[in-house]
Amino acid sequence: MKHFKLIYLFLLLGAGLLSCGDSWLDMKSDKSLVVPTTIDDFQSLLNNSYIMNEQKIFLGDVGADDYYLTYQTWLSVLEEQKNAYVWEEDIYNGLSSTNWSAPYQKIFYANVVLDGAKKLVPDDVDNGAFNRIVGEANFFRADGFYDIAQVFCNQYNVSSAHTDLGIPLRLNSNPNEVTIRSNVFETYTQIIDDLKLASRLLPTLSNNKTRPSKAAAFALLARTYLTMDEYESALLYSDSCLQLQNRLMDYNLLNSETDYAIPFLNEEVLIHGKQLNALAGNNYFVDSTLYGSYDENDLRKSIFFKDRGLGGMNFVGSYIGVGNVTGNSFAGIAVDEVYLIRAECNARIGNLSKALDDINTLLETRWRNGSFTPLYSESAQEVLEIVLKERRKQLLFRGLRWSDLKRLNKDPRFSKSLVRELNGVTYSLPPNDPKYVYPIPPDVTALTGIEQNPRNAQQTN
Amino acid sequence: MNYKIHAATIAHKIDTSQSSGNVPLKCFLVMKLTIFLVIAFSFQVTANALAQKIDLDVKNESLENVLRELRRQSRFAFLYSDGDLSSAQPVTISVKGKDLLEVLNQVFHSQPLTYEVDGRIINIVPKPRTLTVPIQQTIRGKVTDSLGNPLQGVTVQVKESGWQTITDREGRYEITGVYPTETLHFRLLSYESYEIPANRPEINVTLRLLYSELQEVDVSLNTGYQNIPKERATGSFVHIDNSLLNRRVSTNLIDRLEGVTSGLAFYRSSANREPSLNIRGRSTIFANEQPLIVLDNFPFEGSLDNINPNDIESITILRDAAAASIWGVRAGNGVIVVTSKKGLQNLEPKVALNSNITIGDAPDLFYIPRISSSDFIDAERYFFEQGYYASFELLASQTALSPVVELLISERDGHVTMSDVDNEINKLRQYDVRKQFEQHFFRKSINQQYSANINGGGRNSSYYFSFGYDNNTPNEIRNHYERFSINASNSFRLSSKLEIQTSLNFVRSASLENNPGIGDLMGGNRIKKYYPYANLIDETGVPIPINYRLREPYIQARENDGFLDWRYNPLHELSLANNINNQAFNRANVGIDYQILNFLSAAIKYQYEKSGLKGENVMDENSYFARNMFNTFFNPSNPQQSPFPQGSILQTTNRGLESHSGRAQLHYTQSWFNHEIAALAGSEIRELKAETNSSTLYGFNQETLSSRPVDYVTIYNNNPTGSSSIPYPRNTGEQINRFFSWYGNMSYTYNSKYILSASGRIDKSNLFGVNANQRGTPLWSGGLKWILDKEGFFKPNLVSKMHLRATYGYNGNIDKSVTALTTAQYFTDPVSFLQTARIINPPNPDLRWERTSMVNVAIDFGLKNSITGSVEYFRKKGIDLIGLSTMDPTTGISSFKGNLANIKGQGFDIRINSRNISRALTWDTEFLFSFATDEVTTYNQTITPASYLQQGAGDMQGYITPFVGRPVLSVYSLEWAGLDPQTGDPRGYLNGEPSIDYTSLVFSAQAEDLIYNGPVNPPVFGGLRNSVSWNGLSLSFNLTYKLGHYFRKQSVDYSDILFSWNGHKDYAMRWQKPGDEMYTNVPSIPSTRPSTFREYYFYGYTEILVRKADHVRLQDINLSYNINTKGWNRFQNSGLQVYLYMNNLGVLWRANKDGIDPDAIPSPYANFLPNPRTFAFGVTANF
Repeated sequence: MKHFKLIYLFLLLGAGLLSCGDSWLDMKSDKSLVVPTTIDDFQSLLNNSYIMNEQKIFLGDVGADDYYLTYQTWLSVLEEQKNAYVWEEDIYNGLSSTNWSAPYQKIFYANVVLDGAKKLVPDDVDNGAFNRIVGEANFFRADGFYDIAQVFCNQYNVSSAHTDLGIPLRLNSNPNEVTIRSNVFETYTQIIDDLKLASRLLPTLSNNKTRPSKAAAFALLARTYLTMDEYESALLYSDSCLQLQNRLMDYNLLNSETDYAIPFLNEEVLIHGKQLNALAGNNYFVDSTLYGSYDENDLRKSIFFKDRGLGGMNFVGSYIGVGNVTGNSFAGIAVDEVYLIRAECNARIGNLSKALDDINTLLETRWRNGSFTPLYSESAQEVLEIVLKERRKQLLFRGLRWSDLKRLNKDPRFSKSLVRELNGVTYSLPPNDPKYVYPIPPDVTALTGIEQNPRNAQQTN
Repeated sequence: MNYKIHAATIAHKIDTSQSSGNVPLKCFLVMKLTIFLVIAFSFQVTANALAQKIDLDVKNESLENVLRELRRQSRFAFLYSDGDLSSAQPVTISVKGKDLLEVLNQVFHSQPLTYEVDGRIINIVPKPRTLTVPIQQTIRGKVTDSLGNPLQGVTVQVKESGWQTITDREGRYEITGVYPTETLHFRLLSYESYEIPANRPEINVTLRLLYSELQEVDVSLNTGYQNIPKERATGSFVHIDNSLLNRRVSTNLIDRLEGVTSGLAFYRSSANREPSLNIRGRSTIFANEQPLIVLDNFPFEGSLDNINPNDIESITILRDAAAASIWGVRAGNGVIVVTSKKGLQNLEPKVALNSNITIGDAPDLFYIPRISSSDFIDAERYFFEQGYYASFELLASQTALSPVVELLISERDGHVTMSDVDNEINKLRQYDVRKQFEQHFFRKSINQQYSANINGGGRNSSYYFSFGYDNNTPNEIRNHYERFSINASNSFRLSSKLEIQTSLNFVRSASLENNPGIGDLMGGNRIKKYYPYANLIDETGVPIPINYRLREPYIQARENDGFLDWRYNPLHELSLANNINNQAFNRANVGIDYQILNFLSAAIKYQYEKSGLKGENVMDENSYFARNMFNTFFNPSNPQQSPFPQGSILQTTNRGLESHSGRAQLHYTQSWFNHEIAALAGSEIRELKAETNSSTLYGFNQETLSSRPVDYVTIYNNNPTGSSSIPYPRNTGEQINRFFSWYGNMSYTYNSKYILSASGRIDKSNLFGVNANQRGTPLWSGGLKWILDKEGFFKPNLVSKMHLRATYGYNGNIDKSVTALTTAQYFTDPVSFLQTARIINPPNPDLRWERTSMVNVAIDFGLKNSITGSVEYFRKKGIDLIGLSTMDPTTGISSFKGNLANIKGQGFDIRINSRNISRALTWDTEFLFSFATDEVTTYNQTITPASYLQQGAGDMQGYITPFVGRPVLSVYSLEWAGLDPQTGDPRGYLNGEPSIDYTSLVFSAQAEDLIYNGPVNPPVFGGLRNSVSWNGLSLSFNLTYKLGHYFRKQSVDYSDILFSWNGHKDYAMRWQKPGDEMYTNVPSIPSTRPSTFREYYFYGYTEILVRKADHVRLQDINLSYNINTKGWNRFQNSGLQVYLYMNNLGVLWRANKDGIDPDAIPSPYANFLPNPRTFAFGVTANF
């Protein structure tokens, strides 16, 4: 019977291997991989600055009037950029676009965190850390929705917001959910809801400028309300933001001799942001009228611009700091913008002295020491013009100009026709043209069947 | 209780006392006769066992089957040799309830055999000769092979009486008591048997090798789990024996399979030196497409360079589901089972030596279809006149301009006179960088190989010990490879039931990789490095710099500011390079076999494998890399505190691989009457751990091994432009793969004619994130075989062999890059330096393993020993293959990887061996023909036509764009409408009209509009090998062919001249004036600044540049001579062979007229030219 014992032993050995098998096989295959389940994991996803901060839409700036290209340069840029520069009807040549996919990727990350947070047992969680991931995720999602809405939707218009096409509002990470377009009202309501929730949960300020804070959320709320022409609310939130953070850099302390004088993640930055592609490289020349609008005592003239002898002025004043040659542009939020929002709202509401105070406070730090005379006017129109002029001079290549053009075009006093010239051909974009709303990339419309934006004026009329 | 019953009055065993003194037992073993030991399943033997009642009723049944039946009924053991039974007569008997002894007497009455009862065992022995025979004589003699070598172990049998003996080491035999009227029968496995009347006292015999029979008979197929006699195999196996393996001389084992293995294709490209292996077409899209390689029972994970081919006995290729399904999820691409050499029991020490030297031609760099220097200079002059370089001059990045352009600039700016410039330029026209590379970067290769082994064994043990050394001096100057290997394997029989095998393997290798190779000459990745007229040495032979990366005026201006010399001197770089990779590979293998019962045995095997690679790349402080790093971060306004230290840079890479494999297995073999079952079942557990880490030290001092710390965080200004932090090149990684499997396999044989086989396996692994119950996938197969030639109705006139086989089953494949749950990977954020994660995989709860089903039907045939062969047909389907589908980007996921694709394939493999002449001169031919296709049947990703054009051929690394109805990798092209007769612009068809709207031609085309030219990989391939041998001299040569595939030829892309200092020689044939379009398809120089659209996107992908890749090559010739050592006292019996081997002899025929070798298509990504011709000379000795 000894033989049978051996066989049994053998079978037992095998069975033993089998039963231990399942837990033995739970070992992670790649040590650097993790299934995100903890607050720490989710925070790590939100810390991904490439996804959350550095892939912001650039199509707006491409179509805007901060810069111009020579014909030779124009021939060499990306097709999408080439077409958008001259406001072609179709700009994608049948290809997909990162201007759509990158912000939605960010929204997907935010939704992964929000879905995951729902599964965390509240007793187990550290409230501060939990609130922070939910706050950050809501902030980033709103930031993504806002950026997409600027480029792919009509400007917010109270009268038509309920019928104008909005953006697809993806509110969970399930990739199988059908993509449909909301209306503009729903889009902005979602942005505001997300930001309000974020502003309650986020810490006052963040140690790290790639992470959102209450101040950043207030600033983005202010920006959103300004976009919607809701000046009271924009004033409220810009003021709230500035109560938390109102420090401005003194440009007198910057060394205008160096190529890129403005430091990276400087004290004005509320949250870091960077455009996917940029228009501030050596071959991109700053609009000469814009360049000519700076006073010689305005330090921005030497800090923002460099003449490299290439035939035009290069922009080197990005809040991205020590910019690099590809010239990625800053597209985050900085305190200077919030001052300008508060000033514009005050100007529009009629608090002219408050508006001028903000402008003067800002310009004090932008002009050469002792050369600046505070501005003064009692005309509402004049104050508003001052504010908008300073806005134009301070916030160039910030991913804001396209929105401002769309917003200001509604007011005949400030509307502007854009013109390009290439190789003797003139292209123009009149105010309120349907081409201010970019077409949705063809792969998206093909896969989802969502409605395309009309690019042709005849279609809208 | 011990019986000894004699069936006859006088019992004799085989009389060997008068032969050369071998004892009977040894005689049995040396003769390699199989001994069937069949013992009844019984623990008690009763005294009256012999009184067992037997029922038997057979007619003309073979004695063997009768004995089996008797064994079954009596539960007695019968001991006999099959040699003895070969003389047995058919038995006809009808008894009922008779005693065993009575039945035995009746059975053996008319046999040349009789029996002895010894306890529970009945020995069957030849009948003794009766003593009354009047005339008897003793016959002596010697048996040799056709070369005169003595043959040991030949059975010499008196046909009539069954008396027999065997020959000794010197081939001598002596047999007594033979009637002159009787016949002597000589036989030895794999030799033609021979009969001669025993009418002389001395009979010397020469036996002839049975060439084709040898391959058919002697083979047992190793699946890595068991050895299957080829006769019993239902599946599709290819066996490559030792002599075929050794026909080729190489450092690498797998190379030796090329062109001699039916169904195994070697896909070669110029991007990689190592070919991609393929068994029967493609079975997957994105998962690993290489076959599993098994070395001595376990999957081999390390580098194939660690196998010394001289230690390998044979290789078995498992091609279909029935052959490979025992390997489960890893068998989807087929399996290559490598078996190393082992010692044999009862063998005196044998020594084998092999030494060879291989000399290879230097590569022909003029194979690279580069534009001539003169043409290039003309183009540069023209472009300069057009002002195309103006924008380059303005670049802040100070990108280098070529010498000609710099000269033209200084002429324009008035620094130099026109005639000086013309003189300079004319001088440059004479240089060709290819020639410079041939002289200074390449040479003839010399590979030396030495190996020695000793093997043998005693009564209960065997050993094999080997030593190998390879020393390769490759074509690339300053590269070198050295390998040293030791192998020891032993087996010990501790008792009749217990055997232990051990083997230890130790390999060390060092490779110097200092030569950058030809990649820089091909113009990939738009790097401006070697302009065609680059000159590497001046008139006095001193290496000089080339224009590289930065403009000369910029470099000069920096020199006084404290920057280091910023020039690139190719030959200095070559001499300064110091990049060495050391590899160590160790393997220990232990196996225990235990015979539990005579039909049941157990085996436990364990293997530990560890390999490590340590790479050290010292970038000398004078190297360009180190100088460039220093200069990039140097701050001339604060030279004392340069962020980047001067000194060498040391890059170290460590890669370790460690695996544990264990296996416990039961074998069951049982046979009764006409039935035979062989089965095995077991479980296997494996862990494979791979670790990597790499780091770089800056400011490294090679003398003191000290290095300098740097600040990785601060972002510094870069020269000439931009900013960055100092790279922090430290990485660690660890991967653990675990596998657990159950498997089983059985075969049932009825009547030695009908065979049924089945196999199943369940694999589980830590495929990350899959729920435990989804990890396992059962994979199975079944097979049938009918040995037709054993049927009574089969008339073996012309056809001597006929087997029919059919199998069906499933193999699997794994793509570990996908996971079921959302997975993320941690890293450190480059902006915030916080812990950060990125999402690697979106969730995929339905993830499964890939499966491949395969049907295989085959016929094996033999025609009168002169022609043998097989024809196999297969169909396969790849199910649940991992594929990509385009996702709506709004989901945040751009593409989704899941079990989304299906493919199918079919083909056949034909092998024919024929012996054309079989006299003193023999001539054999082997013909291999394989056909395999694949076709995507389900795939759902929208891809742009441009992507199909660029990536369909799979030549852009990592991109595959499957298209339903086509092979996975295919060549697609755009329709060609000829050159514009007025401008020489290339034209395509847009809405049926010739057009030069290249953007629309490429981007507005529909995928369906593309022309499908054909597959990238050859659907038809094979070889034709002829071997002739005469008097110790053998010659064999192998033709190989690949047919039915396509490739895209490169041609001009004028933007290359501007952006990568490159161009194609077709430039010389460009359209220049109206009318040229009648003679050429090469577009004119564009009238505007070259952009990528006209040539790169359009012309480069038109149908006129697609070529058929069909070709036939003379792969190699082997010439060997066996030196006759007769009369060499000490080495009388040794085998001494000298051989000459020539490889890569060239393409005999190709379908393309461009002189392109389709196995090395020039492309921007090419790193290799056609394999250079090599000549090897070697000696082997065995004694």
